[in-house]
Amino acid sequence: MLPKELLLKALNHEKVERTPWVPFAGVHAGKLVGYDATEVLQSADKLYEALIKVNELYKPDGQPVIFDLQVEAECLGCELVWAKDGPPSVKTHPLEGTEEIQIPCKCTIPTKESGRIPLILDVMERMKKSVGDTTALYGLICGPFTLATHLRGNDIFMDMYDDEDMVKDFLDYCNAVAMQMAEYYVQAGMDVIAVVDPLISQISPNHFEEFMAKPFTQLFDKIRELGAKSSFFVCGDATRNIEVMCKSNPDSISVDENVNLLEAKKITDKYNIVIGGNIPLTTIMLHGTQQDNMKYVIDLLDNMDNKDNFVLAPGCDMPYDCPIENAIGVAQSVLETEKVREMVKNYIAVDDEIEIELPDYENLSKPFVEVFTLDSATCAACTYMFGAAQQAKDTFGDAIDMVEYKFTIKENIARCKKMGVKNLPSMYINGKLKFSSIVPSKEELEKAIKDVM
Amino acid sequence: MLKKDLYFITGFLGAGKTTFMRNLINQLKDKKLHVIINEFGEVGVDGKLLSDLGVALDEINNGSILCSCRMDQFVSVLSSALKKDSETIIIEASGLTNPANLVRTLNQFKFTDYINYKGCICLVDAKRFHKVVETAVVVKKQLCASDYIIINKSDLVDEEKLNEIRRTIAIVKPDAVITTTSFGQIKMDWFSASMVESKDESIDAIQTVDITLKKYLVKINDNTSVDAFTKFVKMFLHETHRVKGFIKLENKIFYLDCVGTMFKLEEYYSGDIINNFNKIVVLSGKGLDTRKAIMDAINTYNNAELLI
Repeated sequence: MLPKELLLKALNHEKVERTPWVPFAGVHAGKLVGYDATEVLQSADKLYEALIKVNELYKPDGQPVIFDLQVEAECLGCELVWAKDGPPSVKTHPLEGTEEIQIPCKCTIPTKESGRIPLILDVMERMKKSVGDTTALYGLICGPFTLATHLRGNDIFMDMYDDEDMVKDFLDYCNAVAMQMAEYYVQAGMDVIAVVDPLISQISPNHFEEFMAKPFTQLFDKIRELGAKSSFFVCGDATRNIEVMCKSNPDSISVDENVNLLEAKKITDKYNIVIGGNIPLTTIMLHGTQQDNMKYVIDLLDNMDNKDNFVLAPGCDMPYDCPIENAIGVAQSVLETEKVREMVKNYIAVDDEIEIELPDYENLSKPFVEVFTLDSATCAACTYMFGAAQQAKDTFGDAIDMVEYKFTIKENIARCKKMGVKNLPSMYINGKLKFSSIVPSKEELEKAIKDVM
Repeated sequence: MLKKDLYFITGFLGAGKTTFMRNLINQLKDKKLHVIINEFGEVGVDGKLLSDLGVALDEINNGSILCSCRMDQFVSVLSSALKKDSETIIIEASGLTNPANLVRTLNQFKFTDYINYKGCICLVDAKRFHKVVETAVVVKKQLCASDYIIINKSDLVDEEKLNEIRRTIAIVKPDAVITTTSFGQIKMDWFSASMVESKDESIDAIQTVDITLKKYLVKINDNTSVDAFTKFVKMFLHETHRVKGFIKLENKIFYLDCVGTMFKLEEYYSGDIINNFNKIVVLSGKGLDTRKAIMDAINTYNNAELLI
């Protein structure tokens, strides 16, 4: 059976002979052929060359064509900050700062000529021709909530309390953008449309049902109508939202290491929805050894009673510098599971413990806000968690201290362990966990800071 | 076939484009002119203001001329204008048009075979320049795409301020020819310096839109007094870029012409019959809470309704 058929069969909830595998090689694809993240996201030729290399090296059943949640935001006037080792992040939010959201005219919905869409469609068509018969291709679109946050900035978290109707109308606009993008990508040959909405992990199930259920259900219906499969990508601790996400009726859901995949699978199985994930991006894929990667996959598969409705994938966009052998190790683990199981049977991971000294939280001279993120420059949920803290820093100035610890740095992984940080992004004040995977509104955070003043 | 001259007039909302157009049309009165007026609002106002000059005139309303949503109409209007016996075509783009795609569009639809492109002229409001250049992205795009930049309303600012404006423009568009004027007055020799090079400014730039630009249409109730109308408009004016329209108040027709917080309402004398009065167009942009301000004014004075 062709790899593509295997994956599509799994997405159709049928039994398959082995677990399908989809490496989310976004900017990391560039590393394989010596291009940095900016080059690979701005040049059709470089992107195509990189994706072909991914296809050769990682033997995927499916692969994304571009992993960049900022494409739509860029078309709609957000300025981006480009990085060499990660996707760009949004620098300016055109709709922030007004009391009421100024909902844009639907005439501004991106066309096939907007922003980098011509480049993306070109690469999609080329990939379809080259590997489309054997590999299922994923077109990634920015989910309506993350797009709304890109356009409106952190104000959106306050709007959800202050102006519910306006938020619903605004999400309707953002969803119209998403549906249009899905259509362009299906026309360009994409087999699966992945709606990537990391910010979904930052709201409660109640907020999901109130604001998101309708647009997401509509979006997944639209993708079905277009004849493609759908996937709902979320990152961060979306545990509490898995069930409401299932109710929006996607064909599959993809989660990262913040979610206990085996527990989440019990819920997705109940709804007969495929779950994908969740190889840890930083600790395993970036900093681990090849054996760590193989062992992780073998353990995950061995602990899973029912392997139907499952696709193996990284938690999210693979880190740019992920060692190539690590991803190859993952691929081997699904393609030759028995052999790899034998190879890692006696393997014990080495724990290179770094000594971290924590501040004396009981005797601080002023409130200390610590933001633990995957990386605020590359992970959208982290961007807005850090954005909330930055807003508070701007308000309080020297009266508080604020710091971000990025999980991409080994010292910070050790710090997370010592602090007992379970989920990213999260925010601690004076050493105590205050906000875990929920971006606070400006007022909530200011109150939490004032409480310790 | 002799090529027709084409001038493209741009400039942000309220920069004085329509007054400038009157002067330009008068300067070129010995030529056969064809004028194309584009407005972002649904109700055409500028066309009416120029209709007494006796030139062939087409209007494209309800969107910006080079935006994909109005592109078909632009191409069809320009094609038909080329078939007529005019010698010169002048296009006045809406204040929210990004002219970056103009040259590409002219090339793409092969208009360049029939057109002698004389350049893009950008009007700048000296009084409001620094405020709008910082908030409205389209202003920089208009400057970048222009060959001639005219700083209008220079009587409203001092020399120091004018120099500051020149310096800012020079950063955005170093090779532009900059002149200064008041009341939209012009001299044709400003533009005869050299033929502009028809270069495509947008080759490497990716296309983006400014989603903050928005229009609203407000219907004023009949029997509203001049005083009540004035108070009503002034209540939301600070949250707008531009408010304009024809209104019938106390049995007289008025022309409302507000730029930023500057309120202007004057009686309109013209032989023309105005059909679409009592609907005023409100244009807004980044950082402006326009809809809320209009709704507050409507709730306070109860003499209007928001149509769009």
